[in-house]
Amino acid sequence: MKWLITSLLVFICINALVAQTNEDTNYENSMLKIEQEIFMSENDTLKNELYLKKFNGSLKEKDFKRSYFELSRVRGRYFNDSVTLQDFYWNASLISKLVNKVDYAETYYDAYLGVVKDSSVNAQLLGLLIKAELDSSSYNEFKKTLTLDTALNCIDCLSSIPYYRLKNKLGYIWASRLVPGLGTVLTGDIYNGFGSVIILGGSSYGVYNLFLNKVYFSTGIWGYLFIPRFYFGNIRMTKYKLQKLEEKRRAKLAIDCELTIKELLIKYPIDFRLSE
Amino acid sequence: MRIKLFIVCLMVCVSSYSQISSAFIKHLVVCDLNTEHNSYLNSFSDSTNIDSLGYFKLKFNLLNRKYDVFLDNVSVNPDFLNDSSLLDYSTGHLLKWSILKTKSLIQIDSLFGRNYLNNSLIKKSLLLVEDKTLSADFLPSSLRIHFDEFEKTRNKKAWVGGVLATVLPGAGKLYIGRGKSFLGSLMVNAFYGATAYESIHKFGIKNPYSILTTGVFSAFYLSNIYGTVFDLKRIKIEKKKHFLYEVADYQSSGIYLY
Repeated sequence: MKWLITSLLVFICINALVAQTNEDTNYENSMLKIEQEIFMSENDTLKNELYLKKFNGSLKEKDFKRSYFELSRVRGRYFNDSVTLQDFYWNASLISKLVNKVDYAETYYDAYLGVVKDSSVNAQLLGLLIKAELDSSSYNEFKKTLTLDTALNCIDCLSSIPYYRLKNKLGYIWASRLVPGLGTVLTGDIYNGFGSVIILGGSSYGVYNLFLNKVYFSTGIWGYLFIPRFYFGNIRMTKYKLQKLEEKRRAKLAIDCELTIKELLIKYPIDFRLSE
Repeated sequence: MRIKLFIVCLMVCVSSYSQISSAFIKHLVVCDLNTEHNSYLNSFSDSTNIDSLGYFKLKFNLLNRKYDVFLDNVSVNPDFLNDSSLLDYSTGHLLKWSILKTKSLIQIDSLFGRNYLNNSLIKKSLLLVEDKTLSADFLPSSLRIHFDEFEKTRNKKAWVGGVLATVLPGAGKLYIGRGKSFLGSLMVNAFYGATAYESIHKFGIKNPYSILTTGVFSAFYLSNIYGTVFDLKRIKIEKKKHFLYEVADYQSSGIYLY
C-alpha cells in the first residue's frame, strides 16, 4: 500500500514536471499545444475559443499566412461576448485585407460594423481601403454613408487606379496602319518601331524587285508570306506596346497612391486588436 | 523488490508521455495543419527511440512529397516495407514523380523487404513498357486502352518515318500520327520548292537569289525529316509516361496514407 502511494506521488510529480516543460514559450510549441487542446475538446464553444486563441497567437507573431488559415476555423456565432466578437471581426477584416482577400475583408468589415457603430477615423480608413479595392460603386456608396475626415479624401486615388486608361489609343493604332512602325515609335519603343519600318520597307522592295524580274511565283509566295505578316504583325505589336505603356503608367499611379496612403497610415495607424 | 517496483512504475509513467497519438496525427492531416504536424513529430526526440516515430516521419515526408527523403529513410530502415498499404501508396505517388525512383523503391523492397512489390501492377507495368514480348493480359480494361495507345506508337519505326518524310514531305507526320500536320508540311515544302525551281530556271544555280531560295527550301525539307524522327521519339516517351501515370493513378486510387 505504501509503495502504491509512493508510485502515485511519483506519477503526479512527473505529470507536473512534464506539464511545466510543455509550457514552452516557443511559438510553434504553443500552437501545437493549443491544437492538442482543440483535439481533446468536445465542446464547440470551447473549441471556438481555442481557434480564436490560435488566430490571435499567430497575429501576435505576425504569421499572417497562418492567421488567415486559422481565421477560417473560427465561427462568430459561438461568441457570447460582444467585445471579443467585434475585435475578432476587426482583426479578421484586417488580416483578409493584408493577404489580399478583399471580398472576405469586406464581409468581415461589414460584420464588424453590424456589431459596433464605429465612426473613428481608423475604422473609416480601413473601410475605405477595403472598398476601394473592390469596385468604385461600392466605394462611393460607402463613402456617402460616412461623415468623412477631409484627410481621407486622398484614398480616392486607390479606387481610380483600376479605371485608368491611356488616352487616344486609336490614334496610335491608326498611325501604325498608315506608317508601319510609327505607332510603336509613339509608344516610346523607338528600336522596334524603326525595325518595323526597315523590315517592311525592305521586304516590300525585295518583292517589287522580284516582280520587275518577272519571277511571278516567287513574288506571290514571298509577298504573301512577308508583307501581310509584317504589316499586321506591326499593328499587333503597337497594341501590345500600348497595353504595356498603360500598365506602366498605372503602376506609377499606384506607387504615388501607395506613398500617400502610407503617410495616412502613419497618421492614423490601423492595428490588430489583441486584448490578451 | 521494492526498488524494482519503483523503477517499473517510473518507466510506465515516463512512457505514457512518449506515445505518439495516431488519432491526433490524423486530426492534423485532416485539418491540413502541416506546421503543427511537423512540430508534433519533432517534439519527440529521436533518442527516445519510439518505434513509430520513424514510421510517422516517413509518412509525413510522403504526405509532403519529399520523396527523396522518403527513399533515404526507407533504405536506412527497410522495416517500413512491411506495411503493404504504405508501399502501395508510395509506389503510386512515386511513379507520378519519377520512374527511376520508383524502380529504386522496388529494388529496395526486393533486397531488404518482403518483395511485396514483385507482383504489383506497377512493377509489371514497368517491365511491360520495356519488354515487347511480355503479355498485357494482367492489365485491367481501363488501363488496357492507354496501353494499346502506347503500343501503337511503340511499334512505329523512326527510320520508316524518316524515309516517308524524304519521299513525300508530310507523309512522315501522317505515319507518326500527326495527321493535321501533313497538309501544312506538304504545302510549305511545295511552295519553297517551287520558288527554288523558278529562281534556278530563271537566273541559274549560281545566282545569289537562287542560292537563297534553294537554301531556304533545303532547310525546310531537312527539318521536316528531322522533325518527324524527333517527334516520334517524343511521342513514344509521352505515351509511355501517360500510360505509367494512369497505372499510378489506378494503383493509388482508394489508398490513403492516414
